[in-house]
Amino acid sequence: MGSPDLKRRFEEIYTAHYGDILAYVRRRTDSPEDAADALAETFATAWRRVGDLPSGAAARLWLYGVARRVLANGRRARSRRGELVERLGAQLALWTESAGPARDDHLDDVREALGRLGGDDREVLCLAGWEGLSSEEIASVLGCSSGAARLRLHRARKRLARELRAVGRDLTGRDEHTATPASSVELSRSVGSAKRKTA
Amino acid sequence: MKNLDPAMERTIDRLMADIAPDAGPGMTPLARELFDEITATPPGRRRLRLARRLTLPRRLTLPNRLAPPRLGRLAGLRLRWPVVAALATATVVLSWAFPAVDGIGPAPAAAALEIQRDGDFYVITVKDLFADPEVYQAELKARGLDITLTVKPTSANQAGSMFVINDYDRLKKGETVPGDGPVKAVNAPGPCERPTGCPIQLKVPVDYKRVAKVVLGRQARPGEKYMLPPGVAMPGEPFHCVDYVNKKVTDVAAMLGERGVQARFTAYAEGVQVPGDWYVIDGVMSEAGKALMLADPKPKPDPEPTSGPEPKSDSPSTSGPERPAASCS
Repeated sequence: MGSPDLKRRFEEIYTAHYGDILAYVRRRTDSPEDAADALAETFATAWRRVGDLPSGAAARLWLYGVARRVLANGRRARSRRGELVERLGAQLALWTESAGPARDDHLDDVREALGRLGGDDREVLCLAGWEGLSSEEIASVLGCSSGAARLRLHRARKRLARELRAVGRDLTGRDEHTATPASSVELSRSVGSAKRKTA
Repeated sequence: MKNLDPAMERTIDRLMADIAPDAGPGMTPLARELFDEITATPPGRRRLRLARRLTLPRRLTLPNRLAPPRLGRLAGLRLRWPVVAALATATVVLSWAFPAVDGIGPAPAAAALEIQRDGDFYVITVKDLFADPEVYQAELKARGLDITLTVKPTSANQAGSMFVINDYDRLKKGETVPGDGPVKAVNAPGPCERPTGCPIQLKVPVDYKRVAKVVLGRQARPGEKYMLPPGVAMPGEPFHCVDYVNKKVTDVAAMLGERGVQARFTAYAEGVQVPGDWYVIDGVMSEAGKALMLADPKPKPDPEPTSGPEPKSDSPSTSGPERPAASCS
């Protein structure tokens, strides 16, 4: 495959999954600057290894895996960031500001319960709940077997349930929130999409 | 712990989805710029440094002096000092070449160098500073050039520098070689702060049959020791235009401290604890924020003026006007 083909292929993957990878790193970094840095590093790595990039839906999972490793390796020194990455960080900071700090969703107990879990549990729960991944897809991101991912997810859910019960959260599913996980994720994405259009 | 029933699992997943932080702005014009920047250089095995492709170094210089042997050894810098010392009398050709940011369009992944024929010369531009050394070598060997390239960590100001040693094989045998070799540098147009000029390309005769060694500087990773340690007084380094030679150790430690640099002092003699009233006679940056300073009981005779060396009149430049030296004004 010649270089123009490589670039075209990378462009398709980049365009299709940029938003997902941005969301992934943004949700797992403390600052917009770190998110921009990780985002740029993830796609730079992907370009460097464009020959290894799988096709189709697997590309998104592969990119999550790269982003995961980038974040695990820690952020780079600020001095090493490029001017464009700095601007990207500033844009994300503006976005965060415009989104506002208001949180009246009465879900702080869920956030706190999640925070009390171990990193491994949080990772699989977030991949499932935030990125909407199945245990098979989580296995692909983590590089483990489907069975191992399914077990990890199951145990993590149980531990989160225990934490939530301890603070009196009703988990019977009979309260006013009865949306399915998929529809919640879609809703979350729709909100993001609506915000993008208004930005 | 009891198992969760499917309804509870769904509730857990729903609660997780509900607390998902906002996804962010998605694809924006800036995201498109990032794509252009990332793909401006061909994919390959090198690490992509976004910062380096956007910002050309403000200053890029050759050492205006070479550190004494002890400095390199104690710093753990395995430089071959006899070779380096011999270089003091040789003309060192410096070249900075940067990946094309305006040519765009990826070149073949293997094209770490751009080598074009111009009459009896090859004009060589380094397109990828982060390629593996063997890639450079292979590309040069394909033209019959016996040139070895290595990449060494150095300071941000030295990143991108390229030292070309002509007749490396003879130099290794201890022979004296002429400073001016067949390799010529081609200067970049525009102003240049460096006394040695601001070359961006190398011109090598097509029939060049001698052995050359090229050392490329790359920016050190955080905490990585410099293998190409710049003098503390070089432009861009903490003591540029600072009169520190023959000052006392305690004073110099304080001066470096004010600049956020941690100093370590050493002496020619092995195992000597350097007292505070010795004279500092030289120094290099051993890694980011750390300097290794050489001290002696006696002050250095005839220290170089702080303003740095005069421009070289026998510069190997083949183009461009005479350039001013880096000054302290």
